[in-house]
Amino acid sequence: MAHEMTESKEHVLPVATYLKVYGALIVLTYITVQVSLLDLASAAIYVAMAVAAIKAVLVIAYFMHLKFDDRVNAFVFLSSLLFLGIFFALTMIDLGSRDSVVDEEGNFALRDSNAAASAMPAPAPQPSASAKP
Amino acid sequence: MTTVSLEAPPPPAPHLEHHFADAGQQKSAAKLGMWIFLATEVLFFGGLFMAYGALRYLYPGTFTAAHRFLSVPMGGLNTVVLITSSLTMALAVRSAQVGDRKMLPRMLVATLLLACVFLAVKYVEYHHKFELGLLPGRYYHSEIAIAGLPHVFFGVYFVMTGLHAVHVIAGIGVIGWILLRSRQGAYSQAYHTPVENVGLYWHLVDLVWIFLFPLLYLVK
Repeated sequence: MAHEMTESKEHVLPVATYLKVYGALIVLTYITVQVSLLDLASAAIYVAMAVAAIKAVLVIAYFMHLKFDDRVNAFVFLSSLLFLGIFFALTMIDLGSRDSVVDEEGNFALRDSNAAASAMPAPAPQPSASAKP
Repeated sequence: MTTVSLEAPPPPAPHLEHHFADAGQQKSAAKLGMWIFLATEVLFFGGLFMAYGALRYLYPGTFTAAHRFLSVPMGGLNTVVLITSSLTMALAVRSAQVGDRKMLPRMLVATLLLACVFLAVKYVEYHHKFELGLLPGRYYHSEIAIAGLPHVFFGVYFVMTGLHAVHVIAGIGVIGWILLRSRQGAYSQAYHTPVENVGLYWHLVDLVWIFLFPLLYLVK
């Protein structure tokens, strides 16, 4: 066909590659569950998210073909992760620093950071938390 | 390089829309469009993951207490089901790429069946929660003693898995459509862009669950 020159190159992966990625995903799922049974306290969520991220990279790179695709697609996807990261970071920084600007009743009151350690985090005042009929 | 010829140029491929220079450009544009859509989906679910993060930060005891009512075996099963469906979907796309017209519908059917298994397991899980009264927000009416604010946890649980399930249902719809079209012989080695794009969507549905499962079911 005369249009071959400008056809996008079709990169076909062997079936074996897909099966290997699948195997890795199943193993990682098993690891996720097993690790959750250990008592890792506050590290648990970070370990779980790290394993999930490895699984995600495998799905994105191979099943979704991003490793072999036009770079602009990867750029689009990675930029969504970047903005998600900014969203998470700023929100958690806000929540995490509420202690130093909010007093026990949840009112805005600047205080110095030394006093923050003694106070519980104060969420916004609940209208009526109880929903019991 | 072709020599100059006085013959008319070959007619463009039937699937080529007039506003694209060639099939390669059309396909690149379609794929880019789908990746942009997936970026919006990432942010869509991202909002809910942020809600999870914020509420978990504020009410850690609630999450520790309430998450025990989720069935890890069922969640784990669903994770395996979705990962397998991603494999069959990737193999379906591959069949289209190599022009294997028998394997394509078979892999799509396999993906569809696995998606239905996922929904069936979710139905069983939801039914169990309805029976116990473990419902979101103001519909919560369970007599089980759960520390903290369980209606908040179940609010997060039902909205996140519910929105995900809506995406699974939509996925079943589009995969069904692709299956129908593939049986009509619409896809070939030269043209199978819709199969690839539906595949990308389906992988995203899997990706969301890959994060949902540990956060809701596993992390204490």
